Amino acid sequence: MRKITLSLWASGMLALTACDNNSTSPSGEVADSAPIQYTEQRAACADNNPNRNAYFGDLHVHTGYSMDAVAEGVRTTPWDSYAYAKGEEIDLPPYDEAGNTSSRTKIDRPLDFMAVTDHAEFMGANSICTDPNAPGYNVDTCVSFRRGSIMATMAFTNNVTTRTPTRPVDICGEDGSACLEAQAPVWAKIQQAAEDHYDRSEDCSFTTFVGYEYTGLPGGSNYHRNVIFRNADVPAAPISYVEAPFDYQLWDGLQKKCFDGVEGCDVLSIPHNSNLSNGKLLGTFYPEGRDQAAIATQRQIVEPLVEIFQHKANSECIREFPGLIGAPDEFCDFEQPRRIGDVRSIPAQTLPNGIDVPATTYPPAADCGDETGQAGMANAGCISRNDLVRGALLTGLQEEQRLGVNPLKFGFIGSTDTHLAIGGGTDEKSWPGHLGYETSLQGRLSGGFMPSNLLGNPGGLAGVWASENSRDALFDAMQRREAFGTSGPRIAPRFFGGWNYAADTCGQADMVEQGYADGVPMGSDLPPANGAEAPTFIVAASRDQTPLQRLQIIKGWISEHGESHYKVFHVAGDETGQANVDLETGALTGAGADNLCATFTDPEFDATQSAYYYLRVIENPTLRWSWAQCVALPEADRPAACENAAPKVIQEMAWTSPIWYKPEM
Amino acid sequence: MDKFNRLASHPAILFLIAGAVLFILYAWLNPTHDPKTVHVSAGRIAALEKSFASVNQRVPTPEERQAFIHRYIEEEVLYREALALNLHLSDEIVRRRLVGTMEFLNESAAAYEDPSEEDLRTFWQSNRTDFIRPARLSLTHVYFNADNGAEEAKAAAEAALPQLIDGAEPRTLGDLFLRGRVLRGKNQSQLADIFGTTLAQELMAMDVGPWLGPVTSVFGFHLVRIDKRVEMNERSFEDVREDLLAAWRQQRIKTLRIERLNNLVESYNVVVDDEARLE
Repeated sequence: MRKITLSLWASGMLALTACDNNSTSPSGEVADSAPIQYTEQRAACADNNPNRNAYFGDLHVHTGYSMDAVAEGVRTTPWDSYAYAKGEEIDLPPYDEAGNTSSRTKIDRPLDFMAVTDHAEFMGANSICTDPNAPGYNVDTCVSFRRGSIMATMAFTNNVTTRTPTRPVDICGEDGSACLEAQAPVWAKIQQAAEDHYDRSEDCSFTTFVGYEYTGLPGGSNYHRNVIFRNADVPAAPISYVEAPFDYQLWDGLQKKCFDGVEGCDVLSIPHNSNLSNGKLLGTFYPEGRDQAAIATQRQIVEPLVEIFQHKANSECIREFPGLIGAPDEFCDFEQPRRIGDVRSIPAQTLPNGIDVPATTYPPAADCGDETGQAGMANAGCISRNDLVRGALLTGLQEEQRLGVNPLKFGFIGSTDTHLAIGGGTDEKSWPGHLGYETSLQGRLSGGFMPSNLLGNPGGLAGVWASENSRDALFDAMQRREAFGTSGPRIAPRFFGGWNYAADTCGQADMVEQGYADGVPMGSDLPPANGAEAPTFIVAASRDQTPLQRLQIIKGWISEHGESHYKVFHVAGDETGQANVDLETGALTGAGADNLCATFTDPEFDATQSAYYYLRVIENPTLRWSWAQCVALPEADRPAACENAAPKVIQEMAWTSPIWYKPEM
Repeated sequence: MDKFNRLASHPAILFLIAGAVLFILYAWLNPTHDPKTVHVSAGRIAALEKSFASVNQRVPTPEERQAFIHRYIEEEVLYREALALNLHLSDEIVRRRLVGTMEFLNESAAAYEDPSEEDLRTFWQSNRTDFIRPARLSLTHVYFNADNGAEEAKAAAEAALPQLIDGAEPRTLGDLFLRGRVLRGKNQSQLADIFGTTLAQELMAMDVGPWLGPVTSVFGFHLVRIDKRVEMNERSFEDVREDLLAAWRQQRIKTLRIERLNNLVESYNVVVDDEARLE
């Protein structure tokens, strides 16, 4: 099917390319463009800019093709989801008896790009359990599944809580073949929806990526990655946790089935929710008898990015963490429900859909040390320094000293992880929740035994600096980590590192040209020092709908005794935090900036120490969704759950990919 | 179609459908079993154990195991009693869930199909306006940051305008604008994302060629030259074929859902006492 579609494209698009005449200005100045090596048939983009544009997207979106979305009443498809991201209104569950929904939702501003990432492990089983003509439709697991809710989801996920996962045997057969067979048409539809919504014209108005989520829950810990393909050349089937229960097996599988298996195939694996992984997700595991440096290299190639922020909380940092030396960082508390020593108690509760969840109390959250723990998906168990991106980046530096290659060389993106098919729907005031049963305000604000509901948030966005909005340009940018994450707003941060930037570069109209010419952008390694004493960074950001408060550089380094350090440097804006927000009206008070810019030379630079630097942009205070949505209602109409313990005020953020320094040998 | 919609939403008809679905489900769920025997299979117990383990992250104690098996038996007995009392035919929640499930099944079965060339052309004719490309601009702008005072920024912009008109290189003037100095092929919605809605609207109305301004945005002041304007235009059939296919499929999913429901309804002998509703 895809091959036919592409050949049709070939003829249509070549014609279009031929008549693309570029933009010539009246004064005769022709804007340079940065030609892209296309791996697919498409028209050259009209928006090409050699200084690169900021594009905003979402690379983590579930639709009715995910079993945990279906179980909560979601019926929207990948097609609906892409339409939503482009600005069309789509359905929210629940539906009434006539199949109509009482609520529909529309994104506040269209996205530039998106990938649907439904769970690979259960694509086939989900399809069988919802198709009465399928032979397995009536088996026990399907019957349980169709009863709906979290317990129905668990009927499936139970099969992937060990390192010897299976597919549900009664549905899929002992060898899983029935489900693999049923998965093929679902995978084809996911590809077709991406094809249908991709703008291959010179307008480059919207880009889609074919993708899926790899979903393991070993010991109840999060072990999840989104697998995103460069173009329409993808393997015949997703490689899921069932086939590859260890990360290195996934990378081996992608090597075999994508790089070596399909002409033109290229792929990224983007881990998410390290915060719920008890040390498993971003830890390093090397199987017996394998070359560790080779695995580290493989990981650096396939995993250049990590999702730092999404619905199920923030993975940047925890305020005070044992073994990470640095002053307390209060901004680590933003959307961070985990803390060392916390006792996690889940009271017996009835979920909004009528299902009873038993009471459970976990021991106080301790440092995992060099071990890993369990029950992270319930926001419980031990916390590893590798659960925090800030800590994992330090482990990466240590591994680099040991192996010569850094396996944890992550740039950052944010995304949503919506299970309502609404990628990029990050507006605090209108967010309709993470799962189907959260579409009522009372539902969102109460209960929950994952970091969803009151502990959840509207999620973030993936930002990419690319020369144009085509698959190849965006994918190239993600591979070189010229990417950033935001907690929802469209903040545009620039971050350059070099040795010779002039102190007055900042704010000059051609700062970006100088940034590229004399140094490197976010996501890169600093070039050789050539005798300079300390690196200088250009940091800048422009606001979205809320003024900016401050810019900070976070530095991480390994001292000579092998200890892990971090330090937060204030570099621009208001360090004292004078601005505020009115709790009743949401009105902002106090000063804020439209743009912030500074150059920063590291005053503590030590040329013998490996280090990374990243930029954190912080907005002025605004109302958190859980209060903003309550205060918007007349007092008499507010649900009881509006009285709750969640913070009423937040400060949204953006995080750029780091720039690394490695001592010369 | 309107007539059908009225029919489809009639409670009596939905009740009939729900009843039929329930009857079939009941037959599937209880193939040949003795209604007075509760059989807890080894597979069922294993599933209950797994469910317990995934919530509690440990294996159940023998007492807990006994308790959830017992709870399952109680649930099963209550379930059968409920069926025997025909509660499933009158309970509103059960009815909604079943009808909802059936609707979803109809939809998902229809999700993938290809139209004939003729169908696609007919669809194109009736939906041409949906495939209009919005007007797009390519522009160069010089930005003046108002963070240190609007008056100063505006004065600086006014002073720079004659230099630009005389041919000064834009990159040598004004302040850094992070979302770009030269923007190409942007429609109004994309410009609004960069400059805010007010300035985006103004830009769309500006003449091509000369340096103009200063104009204001949330960021400060801008001198702008529209380098190129591509008017709103209709795209040819071949040009939009892929988009048409996508839109056709979306509509097809919705139509098939209604058609299938219609066929089902027609296979019933429907008696509605309120004659006025059938007109």
